[in-house]
Amino acid sequence: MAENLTYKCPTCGAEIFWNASEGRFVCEYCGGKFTLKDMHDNGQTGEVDEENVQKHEELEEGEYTESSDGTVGKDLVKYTCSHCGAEIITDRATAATICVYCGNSVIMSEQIVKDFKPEYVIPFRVRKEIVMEAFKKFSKKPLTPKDFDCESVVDKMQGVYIPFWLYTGSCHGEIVAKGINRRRVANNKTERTYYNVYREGTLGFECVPVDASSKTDNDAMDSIEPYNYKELKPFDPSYLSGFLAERFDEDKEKCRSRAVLRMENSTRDALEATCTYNELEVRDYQKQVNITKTTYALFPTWLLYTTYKGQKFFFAMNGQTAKFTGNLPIDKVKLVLYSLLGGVGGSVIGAILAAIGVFS
Amino acid sequence: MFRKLIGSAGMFLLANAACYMPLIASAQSDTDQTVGIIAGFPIGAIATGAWLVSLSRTKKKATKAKEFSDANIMLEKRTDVFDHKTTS
Repeated sequence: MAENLTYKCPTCGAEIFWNASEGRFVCEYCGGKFTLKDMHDNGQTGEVDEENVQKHEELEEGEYTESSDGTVGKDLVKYTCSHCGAEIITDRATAATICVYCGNSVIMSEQIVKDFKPEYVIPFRVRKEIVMEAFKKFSKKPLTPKDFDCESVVDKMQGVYIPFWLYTGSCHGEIVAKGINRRRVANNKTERTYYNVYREGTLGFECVPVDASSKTDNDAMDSIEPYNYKELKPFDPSYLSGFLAERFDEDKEKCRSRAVLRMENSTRDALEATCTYNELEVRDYQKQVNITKTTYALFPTWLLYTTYKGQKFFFAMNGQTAKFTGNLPIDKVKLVLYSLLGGVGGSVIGAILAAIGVFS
Repeated sequence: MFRKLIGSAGMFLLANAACYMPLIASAQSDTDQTVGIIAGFPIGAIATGAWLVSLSRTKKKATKAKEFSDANIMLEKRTDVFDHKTTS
């Protein structure tokens, strides 16, 4: 059986959840507000007994089929809700979910212990109401089809803690380049002075994030960066209350190359920035990345998988900063009409430029 | 597959129009205004279309990590040696 991660209001005893905007537990019934410390002081630690975790059950072949909307992968397993006894079918990497029958928060304790235990978590800051407003604003683009129904789309949005690897280290780089300075001289000529340039240096990096879930779109997770690390908290299961959570299914070695590439590119930029020439032609770039520490953390995101006219769309929002990303559907008729309008505008500008003698 | 082929062909035609229409216009027209009008149309259309599509596409791969780096690089060696000079 999966363990229920249930928190009771210390005042009235009703079930309470983490409130994103308040940054603490809020009781919907009596209005009581409690910090994590208050809950711990009340004896509700949410700690998991690592030696006695409940294991998942394997599905029998053909027992269930995966969803077609991309919300879960193909590797499904079965848990039993300890609150109502219902079967919970979920992905093997799911760490927390909500029982669809009783509505309780359910934690898959085997997914957050030992090697899977996150060191840090950034709690949710953005409430679902804010997500709705932000998505309405985000989707108001000139090419968005009129029948793309924001209300129903946002309703399907889910708060999910996504696993991230945070890489700390440094990159040692060397560039060999040709620096060129230009100068106007007499008779309308240009003088070019060439220099042989060499730079060698080291740039330090702290907590470069790489998402560690194979199910999430890597580009989308990159696009909702950055997270504010000042709000990193030591992991406590209670932060998962009322949200979904995934554990990593791509290990730190597999994700390392993405962090290394980013460090190498930024180091090259930093070395080039020390060369104050009009032009710089880099002939050779040698680099060596040294990762000194890798940290496992959970970051808050609002995720949405939806289908519009048979095509799948994925949107993500940073659950801490409310930054949105995703590719919206495009109305091709609008695209053609606006482009034609742009063409007319281009013709007018062309005629004006010709009239003032730009082409002659 | 067929839709993709049509899309690629359409983009190819538009790109060609943008490149060659100014040349055709300048070869066939007598006035600069005509060249401006004819050349301006495909350029304006493609620029507008590309800009509008970019507004609806916000996902992009992160290739750098500047936000997570130290403020300054620690330079261990720097040389700038004069090579030669040209005037043209």
